[in-house]
Amino acid sequence: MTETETSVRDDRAGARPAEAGWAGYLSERPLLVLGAVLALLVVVTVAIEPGYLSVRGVRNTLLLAAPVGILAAAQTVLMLTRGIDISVAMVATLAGYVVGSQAGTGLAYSIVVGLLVGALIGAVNGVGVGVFRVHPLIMTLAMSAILLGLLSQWAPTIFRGVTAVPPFLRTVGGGSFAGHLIPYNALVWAAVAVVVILGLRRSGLGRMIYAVGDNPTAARLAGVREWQVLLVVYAISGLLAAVAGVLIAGQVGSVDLRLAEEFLLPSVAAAVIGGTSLFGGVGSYSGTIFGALILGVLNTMLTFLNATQAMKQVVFGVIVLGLAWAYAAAQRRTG
Amino acid sequence: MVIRRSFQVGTGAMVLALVLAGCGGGDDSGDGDGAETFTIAVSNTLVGNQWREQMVCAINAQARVSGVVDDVVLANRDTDASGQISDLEGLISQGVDAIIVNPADRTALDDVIAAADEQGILVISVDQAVTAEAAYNVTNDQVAYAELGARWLFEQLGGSGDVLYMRGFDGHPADADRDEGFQQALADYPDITIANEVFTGWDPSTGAQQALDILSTTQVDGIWTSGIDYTVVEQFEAAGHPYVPIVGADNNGFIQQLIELEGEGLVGAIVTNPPPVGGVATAIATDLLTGAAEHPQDTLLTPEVFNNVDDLPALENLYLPELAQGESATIEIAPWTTYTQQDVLDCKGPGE
Amino acid sequence: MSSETSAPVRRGRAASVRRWVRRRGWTAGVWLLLLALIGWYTTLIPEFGEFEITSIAKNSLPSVYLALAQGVVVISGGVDLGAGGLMVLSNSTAAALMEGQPPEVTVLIALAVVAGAALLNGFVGWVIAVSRIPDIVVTLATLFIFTGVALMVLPSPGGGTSGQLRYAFTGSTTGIGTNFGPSLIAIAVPTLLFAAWLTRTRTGLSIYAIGSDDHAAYLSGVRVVRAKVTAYATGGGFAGLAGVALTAIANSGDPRFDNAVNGTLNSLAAVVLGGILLGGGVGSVVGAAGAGIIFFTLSPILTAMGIDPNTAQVVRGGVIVAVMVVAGLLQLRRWRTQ
Repeated sequence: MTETETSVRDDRAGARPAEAGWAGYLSERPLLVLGAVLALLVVVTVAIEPGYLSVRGVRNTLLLAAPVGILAAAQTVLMLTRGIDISVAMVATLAGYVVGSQAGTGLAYSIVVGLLVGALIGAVNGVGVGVFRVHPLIMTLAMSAILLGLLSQWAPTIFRGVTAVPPFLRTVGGGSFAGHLIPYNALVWAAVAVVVILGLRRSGLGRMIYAVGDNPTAARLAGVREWQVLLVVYAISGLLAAVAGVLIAGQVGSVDLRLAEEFLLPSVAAAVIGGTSLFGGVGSYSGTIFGALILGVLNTMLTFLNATQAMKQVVFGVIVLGLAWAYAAAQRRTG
Repeated sequence: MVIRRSFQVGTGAMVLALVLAGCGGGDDSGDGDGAETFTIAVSNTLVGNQWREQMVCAINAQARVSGVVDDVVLANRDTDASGQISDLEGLISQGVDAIIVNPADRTALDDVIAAADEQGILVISVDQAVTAEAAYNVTNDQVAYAELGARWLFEQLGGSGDVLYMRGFDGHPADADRDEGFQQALADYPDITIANEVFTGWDPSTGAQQALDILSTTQVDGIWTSGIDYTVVEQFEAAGHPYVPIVGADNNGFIQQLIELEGEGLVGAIVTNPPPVGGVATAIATDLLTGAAEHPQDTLLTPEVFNNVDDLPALENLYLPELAQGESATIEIAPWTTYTQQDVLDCKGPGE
Repeated sequence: MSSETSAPVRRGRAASVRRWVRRRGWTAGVWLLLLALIGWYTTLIPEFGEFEITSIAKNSLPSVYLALAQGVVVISGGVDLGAGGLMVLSNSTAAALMEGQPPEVTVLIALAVVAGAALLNGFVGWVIAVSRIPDIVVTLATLFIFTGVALMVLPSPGGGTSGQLRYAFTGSTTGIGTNFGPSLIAIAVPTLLFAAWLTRTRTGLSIYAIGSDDHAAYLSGVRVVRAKVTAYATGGGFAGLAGVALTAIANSGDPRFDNAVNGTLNSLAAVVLGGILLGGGVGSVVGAAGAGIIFFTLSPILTAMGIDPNTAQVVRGGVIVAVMVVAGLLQLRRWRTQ
């Protein structure tokens, strides 16, 4: 696939010489373009609802974008290895239930157990994808179906009465500090962002992730054990999904079977908008952060516009397609 | 060769998985102990929704205590009207005695219900009415649900103010009915304006985001919700907004908030929309099957309103600590249901 | 003398049997499994007759068509997350336009809807081929756009169609009955024609070629963009047909997003079980169609067995993983032995 990709791209590059000037400048700096899109959306939103510019408006965008951003971190890391995780929403929901059920035995303990369960399920996905070579889309899709089935059975039995979320988590998930300026969950997001960005750039695992996604054969020849990388990456995805699930549960104040469902497609979209390619090896988490913020502002804007569900879906689809296309075009120009 | 073996192994694995799964469900078709017993089937097309789960539990509980039902067959999956038609056809093939259906569409099931009726199968539609002539309808009055709550809210606001109108699922029949009731009430209060109208899709996460966005930026004097209530109350604190009067459904978490936050200035009302409507349907089904009693074709349950200003004891009476936040606190519906609260909480059908 | 000739002949015959098994084994297995499941189902219910055959045949039509739609796109090396959305859009459009119309008009509308869906998805295929954005991203966007437009066309479930159109798909003007002929024809004819077109015509083979290796296909003279557009367009046509079939079965349209997502996910599962390799170039749409019916019949079977529907959900997910793991293991072994 990669060979084909490169050669076709080369053909195109030959037909259309790389452009100099502002287009070339911008295409090398996608974050600038994303920042401009974000700024434009904010301006439009303020024009619709001047109240948005208040401290609270910014705080809300952060508060709502944080869980999407953390789930999108999982998708970004996976997409770098040509993977995807459809099960993040159900893993997040399960983590919410686990934390709720263990809260009686101590908060820290319950959170650790919740996150471990998430990582464990992610690792199972990783075994399927890395060892048994199941297509990531199918593996995580099936995992999602299995988790929904299990949770539907467990919710009224072993998880009965655990739907209330401990006050501490409600504060972390929905509260804010510094005069209602910064939400606590944005701190969690920031921590995740630092770890993911530095991890991808500096650590050996990060380099292996890019290597596996860019050219699996070359990576294998260079001694990278692909299945080990995939196992770890999917476990990380499960862990991040669990973190997001705990935050979402805190924000909503309770858990239910469809807790994180609404976050699944935005998490993929945020990574795509941020310029991570599903062909693997290309992309960064900083782009994804912008993607999550863009989606957050867009959502708020559409709420202010009283947009119908129909309108929301169309706008969402067009934005994803438009930015992905722009990004692909820019990449072709520079590539 | 390789592929053939792969197919054999694959097929073997599938059949094995199915057989293993099959061991869970025993089939007991023998009901030869004198008294006539019946099989009741349930068709539901929304999985993972607490209201629907509770509805099914109420059906199980009532079937169990009735003593004349030997099996409750559950056809439960996420699907649309055509999927429900096929589920109903499967239940007809199984030869059940009665089908309780929560319809995905008002009119699309007409023909399959007529076919069931021809086979002598009793069909009862719950939650929403269907247009099929043969079907019995047991529903909560959704028009009244919205109108009663809205009138309480508008009175509470003294007849003027900006109201946030948080609807349910765009395009859902129950949402359309509720809108009709809400507009009827609104017509009588010319000084009430709608600050914002949003569709929560009956999803708590979505409702939370919308409430947060709007409470943070827009002037809101009161909130009407279509059952996504306790997460909206959570957002007052997150948005740093003082409490305003709010209307919700009889969800346990919301009732808890109305009781506990009453001292901090939260004023609100619940409107009942009980899922045990499924239990009512089961009671009617067993009456009709045994011939014990006659029932009208349509049973409409009128909602009740309780607020935490005048009816606090009633709310405290309704509140059940062992229930989940999103579960409805109304469990028994006189005079139809004969089960106890614990029966519904156990959620066990006959013979389980 | 005789041994000299007969040995190669025998070897030749064994090789051809092996080739047949390799090429059609999975597809045949899928259909045998379906027959076994239906045979099992007959033992679970009091009576298995024309009503049951009709019920299974007509109700699995949308799954079959959507499996064909997904199948051709996956064979071409893509994946169409928007297929369910296009089905919902076609269903909503057909139901909205057909209500109260005379039979001839409803047939015309049905044809127009199928053609429109084909054009629309052909355009999607063109966007993918030209922009070189991954298929998943483009079709994720179209999933949203199609269902959004469906909600605009038909804001809430409703609409209708003519009895004659219902007859064409269900064998009865009321959509329910014991006449299974039309439904079986509606399954078999499009599936077999489509499979023949894919494996016996130049255009069809070009779709396999780009799925297998688009660069090699390009070098050997296949017009890659055209093949991609053709795959998406024919897939779109079948998604449109699935929508029309839904309208005929239910006599109404339903624009909800969940239906689109379920449709897409079920079609993906059918394609995988049907033996079409994600990544492209391998597999038969006949297998995918059979797998579509299998996933469909699982639900009445599990209901008849009295299995908790939530367990059924777990079983279904487990089966998909098990099939994929087995296939993956075998591929790995073959790879090692080579």
